[in-house]
Amino acid sequence: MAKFILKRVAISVVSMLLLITVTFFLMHAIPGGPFSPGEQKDLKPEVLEAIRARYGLDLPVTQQYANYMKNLAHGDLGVSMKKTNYTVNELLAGSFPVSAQIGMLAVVMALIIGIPLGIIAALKRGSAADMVSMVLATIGISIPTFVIAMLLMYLFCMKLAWFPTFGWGEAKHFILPVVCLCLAPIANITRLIRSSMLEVVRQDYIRTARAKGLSELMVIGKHAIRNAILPVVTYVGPLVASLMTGSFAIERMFMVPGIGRYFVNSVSDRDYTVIMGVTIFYGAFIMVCTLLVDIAYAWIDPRVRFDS
Amino acid sequence: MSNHLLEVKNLRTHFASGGGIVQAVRGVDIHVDAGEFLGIVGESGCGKSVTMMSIMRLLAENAAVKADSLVFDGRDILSQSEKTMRSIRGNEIGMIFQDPMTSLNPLFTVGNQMMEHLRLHKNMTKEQAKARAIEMLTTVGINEPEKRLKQYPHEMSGGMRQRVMIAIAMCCNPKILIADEPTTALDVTIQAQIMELMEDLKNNFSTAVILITHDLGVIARSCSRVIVMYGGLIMEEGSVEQIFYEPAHPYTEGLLRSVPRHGIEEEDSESQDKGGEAQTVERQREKLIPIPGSPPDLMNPPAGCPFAARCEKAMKICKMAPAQLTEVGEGHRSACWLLHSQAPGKDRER
Repeated sequence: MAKFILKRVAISVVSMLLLITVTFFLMHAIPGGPFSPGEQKDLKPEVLEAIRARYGLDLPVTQQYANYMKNLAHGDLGVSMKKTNYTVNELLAGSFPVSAQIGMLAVVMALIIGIPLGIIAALKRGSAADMVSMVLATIGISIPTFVIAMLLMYLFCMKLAWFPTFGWGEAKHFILPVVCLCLAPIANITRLIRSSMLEVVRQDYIRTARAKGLSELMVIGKHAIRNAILPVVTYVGPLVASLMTGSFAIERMFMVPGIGRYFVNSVSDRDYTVIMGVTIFYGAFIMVCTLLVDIAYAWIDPRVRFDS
Repeated sequence: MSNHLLEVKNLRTHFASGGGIVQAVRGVDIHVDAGEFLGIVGESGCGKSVTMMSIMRLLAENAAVKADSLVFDGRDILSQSEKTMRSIRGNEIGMIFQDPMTSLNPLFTVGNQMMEHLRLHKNMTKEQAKARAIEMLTTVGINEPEKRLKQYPHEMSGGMRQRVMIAIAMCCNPKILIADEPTTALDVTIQAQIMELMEDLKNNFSTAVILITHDLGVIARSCSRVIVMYGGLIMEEGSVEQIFYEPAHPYTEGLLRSVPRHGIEEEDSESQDKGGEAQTVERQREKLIPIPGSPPDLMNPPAGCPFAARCEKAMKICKMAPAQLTEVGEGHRSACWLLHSQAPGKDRER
């Protein structure tokens, strides 16, 4: 197991280096930059030149890359080029916990609701419960979250006035963003569990379990669920990464001060250091989540443990 | 009424499927006595497995099981509560299945899967169940049982897994062991070992065994009594000797003609060694004669004998009504119109 984890960490490090390098050079390959004349019309060319030199942007790209990597090795992501007086580390440290909070809540909600719903749908296949959950799942997948967000805002904030439309800090501010974020994952998890459960209950070992005289609770709760949950485990890794690192649309609409906005704003602002910082952060986060999923997988399925 | 351990009368099992009703079992009588080794033989889809699953009440919800009587150990199976059925399954009737590679849950250790129903049925503590599991693994011929208990199914070979399945089925000391094609998925040497093991267990535990198979070789080797099924009906029933030496149904005859006899093959290979090709060609090999055609569609079962369409001796009556099981010897019954008193060629009668 330790060997397996070590190997995975080594692979992750290589992937990270690749990710950083490719992003860095692609970013610089796009015409323009944070302090190009087109961006800053009110500044004189000489001033722009001075600013560019201040940020080291006048150096050859390879030199810039070397400098960036040197700083990165010390854990320094640099200073934001557009948000003055902020380092990228500060931006991430300030916004990530906010996104992580609602993201984690959404993941937990999705699992708590999605798994039982999928199991019930599979066991009562063809029943009304199955139909209803499948219709809901299809709706959950097909309607974009920002549409749902607007509908919920209209209903709960405008008509019923149960929740504030925006703001941050109290429980009432959490609810609608979390609901919006967890709907699509609930739908996905329900469908995943349903189809894998339908597959599992047909397996020979389920027949064996029944032939041993086990109760239906044991047959489903012990023998079937553990097998049926595997696809969900695979799905949850990237899900955790994407939800915890924030959603641009949802955070924008509910004015959540999370990390999501930097994904989009940094690119349109040509804020090189923030682009890099967010990319590295997200990449590392996904890799950690995937590693955790693989460990969880090996923990659930002994067959994985022994494959070299 | 009777003192059979298991008595089934006129069992009918139908499945509702998308295209209509499949009449998988269409009136089958079976009885099993304590300690008996009964073989049920027939080709795929003849209803032999469904019969067993009906007895265990393990079929899916789309199955309807009816019987004039279905009595196990003095209890009417069809009227028992699901709870009572659970206390019978795995406890009083053990069952093993065709494919040992898929019959064990891959995510739980062998020990876990052996002990869970011991603890359930016999109220054993974990330690007692473990001791019993180790004892059973030793009985079925698995070395280092303590170590094996901690292993997962994928760490074992097919033969070993089938041994584990047998140990699971036998560890509550059932009165009947139902073995549904236990050797089909195994290679020949392992098959022989597993059959040997089942015979030993039958002798040591005085458990009745119902062996379902399409392999006549396996039947000949182990069983005392044989039931031949076809198209959801019993075609012939008798002792192993009666079935193999005096088959009274054209289907049984056809089955016997379609299996190789090992003795003759061996002679052949000897002659090859000595005399070269010419001699071998001259030498009359026993031909395997397949039964032409395919089994009947049980969604629209034929009105007459299900085998009539493939039977070379079929008469007009065969396609019109099914033949009743007729006594042809002691404990030997066959459902064939040729045995009727008005049938032509009654001189073939014994």
